[in-house]
Amino acid sequence: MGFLLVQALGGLAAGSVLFLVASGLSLIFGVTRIVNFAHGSFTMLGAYLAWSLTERLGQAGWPGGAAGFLLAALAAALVVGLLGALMERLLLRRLYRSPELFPLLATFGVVLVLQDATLALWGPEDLLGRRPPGLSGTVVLLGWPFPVYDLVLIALGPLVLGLLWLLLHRSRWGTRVRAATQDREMTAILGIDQNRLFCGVLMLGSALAGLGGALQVPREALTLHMGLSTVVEAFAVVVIGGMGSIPGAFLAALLIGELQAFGILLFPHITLVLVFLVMAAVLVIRPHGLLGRATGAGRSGEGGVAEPLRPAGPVATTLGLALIAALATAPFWTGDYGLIVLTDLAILALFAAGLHFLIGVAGLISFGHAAYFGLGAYGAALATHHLALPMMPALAAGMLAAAAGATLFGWFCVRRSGVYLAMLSLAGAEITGSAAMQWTDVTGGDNGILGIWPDSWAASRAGFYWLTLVLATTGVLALRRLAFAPFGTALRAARDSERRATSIGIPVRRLHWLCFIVAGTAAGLAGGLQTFATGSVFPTVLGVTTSVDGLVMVLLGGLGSLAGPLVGAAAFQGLKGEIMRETDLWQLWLGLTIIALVLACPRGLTGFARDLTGWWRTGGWQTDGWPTGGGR
Amino acid sequence: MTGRSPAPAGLPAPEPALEVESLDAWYGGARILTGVTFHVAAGEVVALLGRNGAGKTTTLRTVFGLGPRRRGRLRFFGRDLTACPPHRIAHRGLGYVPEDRRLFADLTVAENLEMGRLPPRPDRPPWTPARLFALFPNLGARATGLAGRLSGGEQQMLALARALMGNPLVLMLDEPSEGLAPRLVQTVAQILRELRSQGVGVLLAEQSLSLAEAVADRAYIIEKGEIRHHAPMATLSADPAARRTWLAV
Amino acid sequence: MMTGEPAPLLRVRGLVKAFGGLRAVAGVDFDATAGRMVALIGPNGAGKSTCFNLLGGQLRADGGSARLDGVELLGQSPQQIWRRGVGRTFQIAAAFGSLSVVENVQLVLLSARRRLLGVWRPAAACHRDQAMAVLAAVGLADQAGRTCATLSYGDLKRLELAQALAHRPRLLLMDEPTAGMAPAERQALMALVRELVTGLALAVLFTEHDMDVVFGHADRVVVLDHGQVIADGTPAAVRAAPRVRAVYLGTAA
Repeated sequence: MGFLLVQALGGLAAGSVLFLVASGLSLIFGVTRIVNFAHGSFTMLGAYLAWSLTERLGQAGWPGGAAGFLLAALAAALVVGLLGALMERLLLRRLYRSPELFPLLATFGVVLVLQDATLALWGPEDLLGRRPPGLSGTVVLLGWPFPVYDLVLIALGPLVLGLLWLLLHRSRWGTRVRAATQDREMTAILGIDQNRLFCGVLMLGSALAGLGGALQVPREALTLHMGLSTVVEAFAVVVIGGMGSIPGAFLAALLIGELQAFGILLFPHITLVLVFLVMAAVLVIRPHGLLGRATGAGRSGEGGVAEPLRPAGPVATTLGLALIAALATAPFWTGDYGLIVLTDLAILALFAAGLHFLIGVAGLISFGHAAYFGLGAYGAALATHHLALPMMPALAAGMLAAAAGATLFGWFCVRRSGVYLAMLSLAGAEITGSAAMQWTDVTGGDNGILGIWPDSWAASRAGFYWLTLVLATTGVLALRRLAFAPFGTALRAARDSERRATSIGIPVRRLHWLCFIVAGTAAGLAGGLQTFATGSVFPTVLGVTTSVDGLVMVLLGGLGSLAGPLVGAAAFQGLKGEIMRETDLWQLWLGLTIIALVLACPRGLTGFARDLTGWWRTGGWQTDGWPTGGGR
Repeated sequence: MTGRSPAPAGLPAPEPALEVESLDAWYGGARILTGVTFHVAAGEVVALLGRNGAGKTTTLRTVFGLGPRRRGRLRFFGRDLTACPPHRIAHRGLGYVPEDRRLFADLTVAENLEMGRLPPRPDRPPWTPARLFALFPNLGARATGLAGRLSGGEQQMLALARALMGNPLVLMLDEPSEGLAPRLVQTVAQILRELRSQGVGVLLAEQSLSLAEAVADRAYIIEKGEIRHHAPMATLSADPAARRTWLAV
Repeated sequence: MMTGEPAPLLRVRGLVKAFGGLRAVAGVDFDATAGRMVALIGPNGAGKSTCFNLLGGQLRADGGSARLDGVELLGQSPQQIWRRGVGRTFQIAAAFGSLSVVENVQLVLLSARRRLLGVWRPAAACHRDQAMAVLAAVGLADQAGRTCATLSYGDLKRLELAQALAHRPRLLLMDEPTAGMAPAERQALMALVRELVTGLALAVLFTEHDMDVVFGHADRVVVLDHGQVIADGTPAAVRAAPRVRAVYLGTAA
């Protein structure tokens, strides 16, 4: 009994911290409609800052005791809040008019920058924080010891909820925030400066993230990975609670806290999976989360009409053929290293092309395309390892596994839209990733599966390169064909106007489902090739990073052209390669480059190229109206 | 019937408040407004008439700097508005009640009014919730209720009251009579007359003639994104041929 | 032209739909006949849109029947109803903005023939001649290659008509077909609709606020008020009915 109580209280304490982080995220999304990937990095930064401050305090013999510690935590939160405001001013402010995915890409750039900045400032080792005097002891509850510090956290959650409620409901600023959550444009019509409002919201939300991080210091080791894992978990909380609902976030955070506290007893290996299973279940039953409303979280279409896809003209066709010819002869003009790079590039291009089919053609945003890449990679590896299949059937097995995964997860995903769809797809990837990690007997767990090499006929560098090139080119061309075929045309129609598509008998949901399967299969082939290219597969292939890499490639290239993902893959891999060769802090520079590219060409590289040619032809572009976002 | 291009009013215009000249706007590649030119003086009610889809809403949104790309000259009491973001336009004294009311449904009636509050203008009494509740007793009775729970007519009243809280010098209204019972249309007409007597300029975008006939001094007729006709309201009312051609009523 | 009244294609009897306690449609009867145009008019809130949405399957009826050539429509999904030969245009025209005009029509033909899952032949090459013929019928042939997002509103209305006609419906539901159009455009569009009605033996049911369009083009006018039919007959008879004048025409003009 006492054990259960202590376990439950521990869950509440964890839930409280999670609530702080998630409430900030929810607030920011509610008002700005920006999916802020950097939120978790702010939590991380808050934790590291607080760690440094408490170290100093500890060395000075804890002046002020517990109050000193809390002040340090608040100071860390304040610094992080200011950083959030800075990010709004310098970056997000320029992106409110672009489609909702571009701010997301920009914030991912910030994630990379902060990751490496933290690495440079605090080093790669995990850090353990001190407990302040007065908060370091334990109390005994029904015969079981329980940390005093956790009791403080339990009290803090409702306290912050109450303060936020007062701020939002009893202050002029709070009323504005709530109004802007419902209809941003109308607040501008009434004379409210959105930039200032958004800046304030970013500051408050980021400060909450920082505070959440700072308060973690006495409880958990700080790692450089906590940024991404925190934001994923916080997103799950926000989605379960309902986007933009603070009480919803509170409820969901406590739910998740308890779920993990008890889940770890019952299913020690799959606590993260539990979170996502709960999220999927909640979304199936309550489409807008526990306390959410139907506002916002729409499709990406806010940026206006999608650009038309144009079949390749004679020039583009010639260029394409020349490129294929050049690539086909690569073994004659480049060495081993060049072939490795080109093999990787072909694989990434296929992966990105599949994701673009989902995002660009059908308008379905996936945060979890890693699931199908990983299923393909593991499918091929397991077929070789356990069934001793030759390479080609193993690749087919990988594609089949990816298609099966996409069939299963896609069925859930296509029942929702916008951010909810994206989060469900992420859930798919996280669940698959945990399975790969935990099902050690089959997958080898963390150790992965090693020694998966191509069959002898393709064992040479050139041989495997040619095989990859043929398969990837076939895949990309097939996707291209599909985009112009009735199937792809119907998908584009449904993206332009779902209601109208339904009215002419287009079974939109079924087409979306099929689209998931097609995109997943392409990713599966890419994953299988990757396994044979590197000779191994590890659970990291299923991580958020893989999904986000795909998103970055697709968005860098631009959504409006089928060449976009190919250009994006080349640019991404080129950048990464170049930067990694020059510096250890490659994430920092990659992040900065992504941010610069998002600011310079918000329609992607191919869109930028089209703007340039358009500018060349017409001799100027017209000035845009004032950015308002126009979201409701 | 006057000529195709906008003709001068024939009425003495006291002080030009809102001046719009050769306004073009595009949505994507399509031009949706072409050379729209009109003005509203302080203390006059001007109607912008036209059918559904003629360009009334687009005109108002474009003037306010919302949405479409635009080109042209916009002046407010002589000062240029083209580079002015919407919130600053509001502070200068241009009010706007959009077509679908756009209330904050999850905020209370009183909170909706507070959202509209801007500093008072010199030489005229500021609008306060108390004054507005006296004008719209229904709203006063529901001050602490959620705006989303109001009836259609009450919502329209609240949208108007919220815009008045900004103490506008010129007020643009998009279809304020839509969906209102005749008695409420009379109330709206009454308020517009009162605003006019206080020297506020009013631009009234309407599809139906009844409210415009009751209060407007002049009228512009817009069609396919162009101003096609301009006349004193009385002239237009007395000219069934013009009404039939432009408005088909 | 026609001798006697042929059997009606659409037979609506006792149609009922309530929202909460309000009976928006309270036992409505009317018919629509092939080759004829029926106007459904009435003041705002009379139940016109509700009737349309019931017939199109967007709303579920609480009672009554609507038979198309003897087949019950009520209770079927919008897609089933569409496949049974009921086309529809909407009050606010919209199209698939990033596709070309002719692709918009080709897609309807592909959908009608259940070929949306085609993966090989480009959609732009499928049923092109037929799509062009439909575009020619509505006078849009010269715009076929344009991207829809750049069409004028009048052309968008025509495109919508083309999309509705492409799968050869027997009954066409048109919600305010001329809303937002100039008078000359209105007359041209309605003349076009009349041509198509006669040529294709189509039954048209339309709502409209413009009384010139209603009385100039409808063969039969059904007047709704508070969810009930208060008049049903030829335009001349309806125009003369005192009750109609009282509730509708008197206040509209």
